[in-house]
Amino acid sequence: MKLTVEAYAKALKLTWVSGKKGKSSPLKIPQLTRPGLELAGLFEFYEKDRIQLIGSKEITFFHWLSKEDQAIRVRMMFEQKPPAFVLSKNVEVPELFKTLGDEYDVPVLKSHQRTNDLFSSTLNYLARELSPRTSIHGTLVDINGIGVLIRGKSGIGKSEVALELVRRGHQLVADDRVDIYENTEGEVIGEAPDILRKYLEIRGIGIVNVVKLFGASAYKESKPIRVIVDLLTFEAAEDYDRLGLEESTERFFNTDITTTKIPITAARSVPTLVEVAAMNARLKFLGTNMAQEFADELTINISDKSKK
Amino acid sequence: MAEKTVVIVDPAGMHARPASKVAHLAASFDEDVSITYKARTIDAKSIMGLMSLGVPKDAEITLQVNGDDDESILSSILGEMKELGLIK
Repeated sequence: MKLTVEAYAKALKLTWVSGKKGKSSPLKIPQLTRPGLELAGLFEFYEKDRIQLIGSKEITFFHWLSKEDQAIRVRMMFEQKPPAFVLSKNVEVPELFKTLGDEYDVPVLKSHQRTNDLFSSTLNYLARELSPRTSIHGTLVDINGIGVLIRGKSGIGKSEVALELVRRGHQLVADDRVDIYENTEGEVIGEAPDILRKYLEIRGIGIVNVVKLFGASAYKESKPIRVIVDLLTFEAAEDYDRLGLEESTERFFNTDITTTKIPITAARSVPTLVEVAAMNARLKFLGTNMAQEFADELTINISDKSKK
Repeated sequence: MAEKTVVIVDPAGMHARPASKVAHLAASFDEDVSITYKARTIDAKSIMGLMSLGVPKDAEITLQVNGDDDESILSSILGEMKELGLIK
């Protein structure tokens, strides 16, 4: 599906200044540019395939220029038909941009956001819409701010674990099918396909809406995945790490995500285990490795004894 | 591996009820069963996954079974889909 300027304008609540005829221009690159050098007359590096963001800096410089230079350089920018010009909150749109927008059918848009916010929200939007996506089988929950993907064979109880986690105040992102994309290297974001948002399927009960059951705080639109928890039956889990010293990861796009295997039986409270796995990942992220600390203490203990 | 591409003929597409029947049947086998629609492949044992595809009438979907006995599993799922009026 093609991403158009119109969709971008709608998503970021931009208002149309001119160039409405160019509304179906495609956006192809998840990048944007601030054409300061072009206003200064250097067109050798003009990135005409990107959205052109005009902030207070660019517009102040624009007003420094003579009327002649303004007319020539801005026309040169429009001539090469970039997908759109977006002006930030504090920029008053010059007449020149209005008329050239209509002349070349290049959309000129105005944002309610300041330059920095506009820059990052545009970049995030483009990454979300243009990055390659794939679907994975699993359930994604936000546990105290950590995105945990629960995987396991159909029927092992992923949704039931998610239900209990939501009941404990955590948030559901997606049940059973998670669509993922890479926002930047090191950050893979998961979200639910449109139709499944807010829904969980619980065997024996059916499909439930977590927002209706537990309130608006029970659901989150999207979340970076930090840990993957694989639920396994004891028979299937012949090789799991008893100490928690080994770090295993799995690669999605260009990002390695930590994986943990959790063997389950009737006596083990899986939601609690998943919660602890999330907290453990958070501690490791903050620089504390509990298993390593224990192993170090043991080593010291043994060497103390052998000295005596 | 056994594979077959079929066209959905039900005017309502693969809606909730038949989707849940197909997933339920698929889940009764140990083998991996998957369905692909528009380059998205999902585990056919997952009701949510199946419904998330939002398969409309006239859409082509591909069923795939991996493991022992794949041919007979494939034909029993196709038989169920036929009975549900999803395919001809």
